[in-house]
Amino acid sequence: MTLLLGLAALGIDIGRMYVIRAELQSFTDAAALSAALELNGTDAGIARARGGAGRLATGPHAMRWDMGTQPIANIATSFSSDRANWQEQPKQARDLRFVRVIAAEPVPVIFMRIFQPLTSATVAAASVAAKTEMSARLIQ
Amino acid sequence: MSRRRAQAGSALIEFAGSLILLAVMFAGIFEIGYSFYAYGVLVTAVRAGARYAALQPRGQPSGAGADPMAQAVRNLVVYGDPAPTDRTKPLIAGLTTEQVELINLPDASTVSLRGFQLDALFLKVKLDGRPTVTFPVTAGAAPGAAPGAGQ
Repeated sequence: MTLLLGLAALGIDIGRMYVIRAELQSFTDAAALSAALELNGTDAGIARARGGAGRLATGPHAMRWDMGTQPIANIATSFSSDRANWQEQPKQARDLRFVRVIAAEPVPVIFMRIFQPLTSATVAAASVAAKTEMSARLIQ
Repeated sequence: MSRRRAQAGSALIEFAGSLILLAVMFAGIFEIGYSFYAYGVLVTAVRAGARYAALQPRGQPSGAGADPMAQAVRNLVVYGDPAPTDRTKPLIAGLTTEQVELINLPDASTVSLRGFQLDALFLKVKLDGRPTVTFPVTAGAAPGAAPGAGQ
């Protein structure tokens, strides 16, 4: 009986994490596209790209997590010219065409702490977008 | 009356009592599980709607009810298809196209739900302004950059 309820409760925690991941993935997809659109080979473009990613998490139409209740706060934006080496603070902006946005939020767990001494688990989503000639597209 | 028969009676009452408790617990688990499932479906649907809207060429400003593009976005969110043949089965029970809000800006499209009530048996979750997804406009994409590239 205890085992049955424990498993059901675990299902609730994990189900919630899947919802949160879907929310974060929507955000990172849009944020990576926004950022990639700003890339133009200059430092100003990099700065605008970083701002463009963050802007979607603020304002009246901000995307949120935990069934649309929590603001997305932990966002990491990095840049690359070859999709292999990612730099958060790039020194040379010229060849950077790829943007990766990672959103990772600590989800407080309710039932899982029965089994483990853990109070939160990190749920993360990542997206990579590429600047194209006229536009930008999601590649991962 | 033998002692065993007397105990059989109390076992029945205990079983009835625990059955109520169990039923309530399972109903609760079902409700929460269904809410998560439904919200996950809605997030994906709203995301698809926003992405679709952001890939359309910018034309007239949004807001007009008869705008065919806006209608296609609403259909996509509610039925999973911009031009559905069957309008009787929304992705989530109770969702209608009037509850889908589309805000088209020159550089971004936002889709969210307005005044939708998620009906999970006893529990009702009011969804007003969530989920919300905004996608930047990439309508100028080259032909190779197809709609919905990535996931």
